Amino acid sequence: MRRKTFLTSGLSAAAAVSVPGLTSSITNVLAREASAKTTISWWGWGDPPVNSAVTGLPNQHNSPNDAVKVFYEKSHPGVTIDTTVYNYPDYVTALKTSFAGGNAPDTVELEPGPLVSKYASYMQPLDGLAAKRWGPNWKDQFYPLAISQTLAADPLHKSMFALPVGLECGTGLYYNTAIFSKYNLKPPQSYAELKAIADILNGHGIIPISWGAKDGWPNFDWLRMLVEQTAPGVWDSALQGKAKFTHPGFVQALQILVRMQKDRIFSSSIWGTTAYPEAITLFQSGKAAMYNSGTWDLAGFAAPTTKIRNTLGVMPLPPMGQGLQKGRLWATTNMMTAISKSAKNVQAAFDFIAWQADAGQKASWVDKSGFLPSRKGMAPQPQPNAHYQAIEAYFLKEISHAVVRYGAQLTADLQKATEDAIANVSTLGMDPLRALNAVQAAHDKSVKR
Amino acid sequence: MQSQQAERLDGGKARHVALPVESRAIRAWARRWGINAGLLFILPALLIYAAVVLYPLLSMFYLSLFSWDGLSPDKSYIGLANFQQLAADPLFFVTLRNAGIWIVFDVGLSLVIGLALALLVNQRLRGTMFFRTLYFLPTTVSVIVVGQIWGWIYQGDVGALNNYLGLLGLGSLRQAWLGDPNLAIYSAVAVALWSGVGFQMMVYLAGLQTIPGEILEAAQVDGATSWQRLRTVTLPLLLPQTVTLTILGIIGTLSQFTLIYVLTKGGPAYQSELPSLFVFDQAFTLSQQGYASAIAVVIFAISLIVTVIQLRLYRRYQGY
Repeated sequence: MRRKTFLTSGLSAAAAVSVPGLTSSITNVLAREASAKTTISWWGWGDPPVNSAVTGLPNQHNSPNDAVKVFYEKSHPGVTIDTTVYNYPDYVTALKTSFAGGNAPDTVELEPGPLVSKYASYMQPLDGLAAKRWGPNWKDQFYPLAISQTLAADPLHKSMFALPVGLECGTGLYYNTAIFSKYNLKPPQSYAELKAIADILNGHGIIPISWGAKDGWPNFDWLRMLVEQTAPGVWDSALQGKAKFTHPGFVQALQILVRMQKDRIFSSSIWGTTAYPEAITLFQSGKAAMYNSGTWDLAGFAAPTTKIRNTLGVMPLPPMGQGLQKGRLWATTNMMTAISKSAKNVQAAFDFIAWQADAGQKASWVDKSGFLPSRKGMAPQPQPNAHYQAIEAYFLKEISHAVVRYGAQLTADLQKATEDAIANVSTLGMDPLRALNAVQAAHDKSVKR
Repeated sequence: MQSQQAERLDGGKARHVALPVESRAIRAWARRWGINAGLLFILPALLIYAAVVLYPLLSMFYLSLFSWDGLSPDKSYIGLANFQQLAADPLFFVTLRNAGIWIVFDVGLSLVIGLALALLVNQRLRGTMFFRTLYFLPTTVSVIVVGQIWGWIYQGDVGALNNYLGLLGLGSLRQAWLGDPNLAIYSAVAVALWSGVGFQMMVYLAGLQTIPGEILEAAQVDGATSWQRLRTVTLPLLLPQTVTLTILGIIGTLSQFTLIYVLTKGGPAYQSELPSLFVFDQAFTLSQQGYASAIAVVIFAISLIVTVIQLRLYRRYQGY
């Protein structure tokens, strides 16, 4: 007992003597490690994993965000990117709860319209940091659309609260060339031809066009595309208050959308189908022949696991009625990355997002995700085959005269009201004019507010 | 002395218990400061309750009087304007109608099916334990998992249900189970029934096992048929369970969110939207936190009324 007490006392005394030195060296090591290691949290959205039970395809989750993380960490030792990727609807909720709860991540992905407008005041203005990195005329190095859509988030249109990382172009009608060849079909040049193709495909148990109407945003894109055929330019005028959302062009576009559903251009299940992963998977797996989408899906289609990889084509939506013209595609800055005001290391966070809009843009975003570059002079890497090169060329050509997807005046209320109008007319048989009156009311309310 | 106090606390019914040292110290401290020691003992629980229940509840009432986007530090006081807006919002009444459908079909049918299953597994036969477990199993599965699985089963183009209907030669019965505005809510109710009926079965089973066998035997001796025994003996004796399950079902419907969000997101065109999902849409999609709080206040009021009715029914039937 006495021996044990003696030993314990001796060890304690030795420890007491050595601990200050030991503590000091541990502290130094930790401090060095802390200064060498920077962690930047980064939130964004992406496709959820594909449900292999539904499709019979292997699970795949090739998030471009993961590619960005790998590239950046490799070229910047000591920096860790803590990536979180949500499905888009969940992302909107997660952003709100994190910012409201004071737990905002260091960097977040945003997109033009309601999302960036809502969060702009919680983000760092980036003009000074950007000018330091790229020079005073740094904005000229980006495409004008990328700058104007980012500036639109600032009520004064002066400060950049985010950096544009990629551009998107949509929506083109992707089609499966193998299915078209098998049934001797050619890209339709009119609605009548599209209907004839749909009849043939339905007769063989193939869905003509896959559409995930359970999510609101693809429906918004459909209407946007159709209005550009029925009343070119009126959408933007209505947003600016120069025209009404009850314009005959909107009514006709809704009527066309309803007629397409009645004519079985789509599956009857669209209103219970999500865009991701369900609708896109139906197309990727060859169960649907066409899919309305844009550049953002290109990289996913090129993945080795998809059946569509070598049989992908793209075409514009044909004129959908007598006297209508083929519509213009839309373009948007998708996405932009911002730094929250609560970011712990603003310079490190800026270096990361600037890298995304710089060298990393080409290395990861453009070549891995299928985005079009937001900065001038960055041609995408040649795609895996001639199909992709043709598709990319098509979008690059169209983007030069595309309309803007989300105008600066678009609010969350207005977008929701538009989506509701499409759902009400399509599923409840509501009169299009009555449905569009609600859209106009939402617009008026937004303006008033 | 402590024993006397312990005796006084429960009206002298308990046997004398030796209190731990800590309890005695708290009592002594409370006595010195003239504080009711009982209050001190429940204080930790009270604080937690206040933080996680009372504070959010009071915040909800407070926020319902403001126009607020949920993010901005600025809130505008608008009095009862949110409630006026709600009274004129047809979508809110659509969600209440949907809640009514849910209550009739989910709560109503789950009582009938739960009772039937409980009667079946209450018999002294081989294998009843297996079936009790089997019927209760879906209740233990996460609601999100249930929603995902049934979403796959219901998928209109490649889902299992339509595929099996086709294989059975019943292709004409194939439906857009979640995409048809007339069907979506009933499809979701069916999932809720599948997922929740095991709970009703268990509650009824517990109730059945408290019914003294002598009463049923006496009825049998008096010549009552099995249907008469069920109607005049078993069902009245199970009334407390029925009342409890009904009230829990109604309150559960008003707070039902996860399943309907995963299956239909309230669509198509709000035809399966339930009140709690409507609150979520207003708060998170449209950033109208004040309006969402006003809706939550109304839902809270409805739940409160239902709870009061429950308590009254309990008093009426407590003789059972």
